[in-house]
Amino acid sequence: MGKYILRRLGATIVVLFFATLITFILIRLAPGNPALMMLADSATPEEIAAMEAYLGLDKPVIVQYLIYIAGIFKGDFGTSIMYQRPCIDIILSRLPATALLTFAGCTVGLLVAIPLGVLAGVKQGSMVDLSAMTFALLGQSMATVWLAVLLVLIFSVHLGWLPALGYGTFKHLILPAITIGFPLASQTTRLARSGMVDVLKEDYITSTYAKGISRRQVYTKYAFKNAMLPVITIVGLQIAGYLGGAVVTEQVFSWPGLGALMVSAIGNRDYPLVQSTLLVVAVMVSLVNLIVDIINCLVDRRMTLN
Amino acid sequence: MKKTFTFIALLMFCMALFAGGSNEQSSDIPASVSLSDKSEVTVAVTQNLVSLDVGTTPSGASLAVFDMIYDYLVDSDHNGNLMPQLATSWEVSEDNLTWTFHLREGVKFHNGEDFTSDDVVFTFERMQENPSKYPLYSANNFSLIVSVDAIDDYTVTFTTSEPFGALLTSLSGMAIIPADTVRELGDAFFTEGYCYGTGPWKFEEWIDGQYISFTRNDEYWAGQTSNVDRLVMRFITESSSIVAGLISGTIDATGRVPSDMLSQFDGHPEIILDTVDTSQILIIGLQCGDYSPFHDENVRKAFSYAIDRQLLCDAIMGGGKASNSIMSEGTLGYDANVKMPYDPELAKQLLSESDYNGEPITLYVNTAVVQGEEIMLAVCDMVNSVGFNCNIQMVEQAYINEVRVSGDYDAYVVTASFTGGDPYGYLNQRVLSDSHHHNYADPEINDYITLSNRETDQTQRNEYLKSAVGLMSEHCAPQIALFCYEYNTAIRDGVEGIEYSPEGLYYFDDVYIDK
Amino acid sequence: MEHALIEIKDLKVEFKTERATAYALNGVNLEIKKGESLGLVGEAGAGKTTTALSILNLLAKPAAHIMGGDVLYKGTSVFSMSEKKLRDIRGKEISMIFQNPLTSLNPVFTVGEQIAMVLRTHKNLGKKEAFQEAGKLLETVGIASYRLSDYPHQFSGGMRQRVGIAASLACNPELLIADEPTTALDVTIQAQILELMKDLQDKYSTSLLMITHNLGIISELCQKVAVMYAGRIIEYGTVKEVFKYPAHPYTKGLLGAIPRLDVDSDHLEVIPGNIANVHHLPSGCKFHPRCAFCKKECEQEEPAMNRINDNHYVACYINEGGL
Repeated sequence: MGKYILRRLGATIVVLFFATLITFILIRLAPGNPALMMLADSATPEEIAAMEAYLGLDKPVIVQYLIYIAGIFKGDFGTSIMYQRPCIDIILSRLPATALLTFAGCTVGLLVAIPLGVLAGVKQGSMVDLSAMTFALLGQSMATVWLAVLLVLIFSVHLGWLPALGYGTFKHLILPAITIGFPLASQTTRLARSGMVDVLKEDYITSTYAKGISRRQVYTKYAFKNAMLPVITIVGLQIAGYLGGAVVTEQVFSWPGLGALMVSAIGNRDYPLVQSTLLVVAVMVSLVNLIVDIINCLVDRRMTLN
Repeated sequence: MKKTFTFIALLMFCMALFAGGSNEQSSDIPASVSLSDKSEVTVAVTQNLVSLDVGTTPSGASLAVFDMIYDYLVDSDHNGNLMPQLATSWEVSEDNLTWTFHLREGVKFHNGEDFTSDDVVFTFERMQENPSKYPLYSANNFSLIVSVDAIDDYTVTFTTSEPFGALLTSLSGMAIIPADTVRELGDAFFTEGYCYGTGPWKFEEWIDGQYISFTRNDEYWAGQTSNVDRLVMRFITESSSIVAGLISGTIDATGRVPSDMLSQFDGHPEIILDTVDTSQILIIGLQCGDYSPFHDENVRKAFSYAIDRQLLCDAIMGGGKASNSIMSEGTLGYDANVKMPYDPELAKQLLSESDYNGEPITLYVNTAVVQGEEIMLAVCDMVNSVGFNCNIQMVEQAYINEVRVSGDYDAYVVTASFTGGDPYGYLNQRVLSDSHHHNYADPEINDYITLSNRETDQTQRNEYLKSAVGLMSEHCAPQIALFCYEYNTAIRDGVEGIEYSPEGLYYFDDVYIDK
Repeated sequence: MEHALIEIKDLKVEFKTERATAYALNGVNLEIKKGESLGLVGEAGAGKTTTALSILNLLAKPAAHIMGGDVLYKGTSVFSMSEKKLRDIRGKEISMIFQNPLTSLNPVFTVGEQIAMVLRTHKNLGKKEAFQEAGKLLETVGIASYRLSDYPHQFSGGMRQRVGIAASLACNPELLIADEPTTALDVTIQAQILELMKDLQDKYSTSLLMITHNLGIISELCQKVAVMYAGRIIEYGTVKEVFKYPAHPYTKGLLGAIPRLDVDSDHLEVIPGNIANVHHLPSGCKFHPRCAFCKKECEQEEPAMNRINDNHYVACYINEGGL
């Protein structure tokens, strides 16, 4: 296991290297540059040139990249042009919000989806199954922004139960978590259901029943584990996705996460911040993928880490 | 199985720590629904604050924030009038190059230190040493100031390289910071959250991406009339969220409700709606180079006369004022007599007499312009009906910036506003210096601009400005203005004192609750 | 009179799907007495596994329908038993060994767990004790007990089948149903497994229902044999009788199809035609389309079971009353 992790880390570093390089190039290909964005749009060409020099943008691109990479190795992720503070400080201050939202949203989604999906699979063709599939269809058809605004309208504006936006208490977390959790729940419900349906047909389930094991034990343990295998991978991918920042949700709820940070950094052409945020996100995604792979191997022993 | 469980449990535990930790550091923001028992006001601004440094790029958020914490040498009423604040009086030398300011005595910073001339000198010199680091320096034309000197504790002189008629306007944007502390702490004064000034409110805390909060300064030198203990300024980019926040009680005031969302407040009499006239204009910048259709004045006039500005205001904006020039009522340079007709017949005629042969023209519209797409689609319709072949392309700010540097555009559409109600910056950069590469140079206009720059007598200066602005409208170059924005404000009944400046910005330093 | 351990009376089972109906069992009659070992022979698709699963009332709902008849365990119908009673019987009083060892064990649980689950359920053992017992059971089937924590994919087919056997013997069942336990294995392993089963038979005098299409195994292990065709028992009796004097043309064909070393022969006897289509069964005797001795009455009406002697019964018009 240890060797495997080391190998994966090595591969991850290569991936991260390419990710930073591609980001580096892409953001610079976009029209405009940070100097223009920082200065009032009435700046003189001399002032713009001075600003570009100050930001190190007058150097050749390759040199800029090497300076950046050298900085990473020293632990220096650059200074944000907008904020005039170290990028890592800004990212770390936003990271908890994103982590919390991802964690809460996925928890909510899974707590609903897995029992529902399992039940739907067990009672295939019943009203429960139909309702679950309708729920899943709704979730996958709903646009995030529509759902978010709808939730605010109902629970905040009309009922007044929950705050419309903001961050800081448990109450603030509920609506954004539901917004994140709902599409995840839809997808997971379908997966859990089909997983369950497929597994229940298997020979080893019949042989389990033939041993006198109760249905409940089969549904919650002996078929459950098998049915959840595809779910683990998909949920892992989703979590990785949300860690990259659920931009729409963050904007509607004024949730100070990485998504909104990334969008504003890009809009302002804040090169160091864009690069560093992406790097941090890439690291997190790689980590999540690694964890998912390890979990998969722990759960299904047929899979080896190769 | 056991191992799996332990692993997952550990993972969840770590994330829970994250969550718990973060919950502790952000404070609970109580909703100020019922004002009778709370003395706290929460307002929403649509821009995100990125820096507490007073030298940062001026933005709606930063201007509102600095207004709370700091004071300036002179205070602008945002209509072109300047009043004493930290400076009680001033004179200009005969050669118009030296300004002497007499400073107010007995003013204290929030930590009890005395305000003296040293603070003024330091505030300026800090930027002068590293202009690229402090975009305010460029934004407020501080390059024209050669030096700032302290004559004594309460007298300061500003020496300029050439007569600088708009110096006072520029200084109305330079917040005065405590010299000793900032010398000692450097940038940490701002980044570590000290940031205190001499202003009517004290900085409390700033959570990036969320809000900034202030507490009332009862020792304010000009006296404090507010009864609000705490003001929270939230940064919310999504309009629907602001509306929801107002109705559900999280927010008490905001200044920019889109007109199509006003109906949401029906049935909520506790939210008072109002409109504010601003001097913020929508301009179309025209490329006047040889290779462009707009090189020909008749083509420009045809373009401008084909647009029914009043209709745009009435039908799309639900308000606002049609512009006859780039300036508006209450600002310097405004002249009600300037003509900008809506005459599609004349436009058709002028166009047909010109060399324009239906070449496609692309208008780059900044996505940040409120209802920009709607407005410009209507404009295209109007101009195309007199013979133009126009289309629009929605682009982001960075793109506009780039094409304006290269001059590679037919026309661009942005909003513009005038700091302090003074077109100084606009005329110098966008017309005289042509920093946006319109390739238009009219010696008459440029002369008037230069004269207005050097004129220190404000009345005479206004006359020069009127001439320059009027000529721009006459030649429809290098930019034409469509209309001035009218903003819809929504404020909870009982919250008073929020000022909306014609720049389209709002200031909260005089807020109070009327119970 | 005491009931036989298992009595299957005229059992009719259909599998209904949207598209078609499969007539799997068409009046099966069988009996297994205590301590008896019965071999159930037939081609693939004859209905052997369906018969076995119906004893445990484990037919796949919603497709399976009991259209008639009954299965009695110690005199009580399994179709009328409560879910709880059935659970008590399954794995404890009646155990089953499944046909395909590669699919009949759960891949994500250890073999130890899959044996221990039986012990925990029926003998109320705690986790630790159950595992210890499971280890002992593995030893009895010839697998080292330290392999308890291994997963099925770490075992060969033969060893997996032995795990299945260990699980089925955990509670000393009264009846062991073995559904083609060696079909998926090679001959040498087959021999081992059979040795094992003979051993256990001797030791515990468990009743055995041995389902197979391999006649050799039946002659080794079983006292009685029932031949099944198209969901019916067409011949029944002691192994000696039936194998020496097969009465039904089908049985004759089966026995004739076995290659023999002591007879010089160029070709194998084959039974012409294919096994009856479960969706469209022939009228009368289900075997008649393939029968060389087919008479008119064979086409019209199904023959009933006729007694040849005490140890031999056959359902055939040709051989009524014996040879």
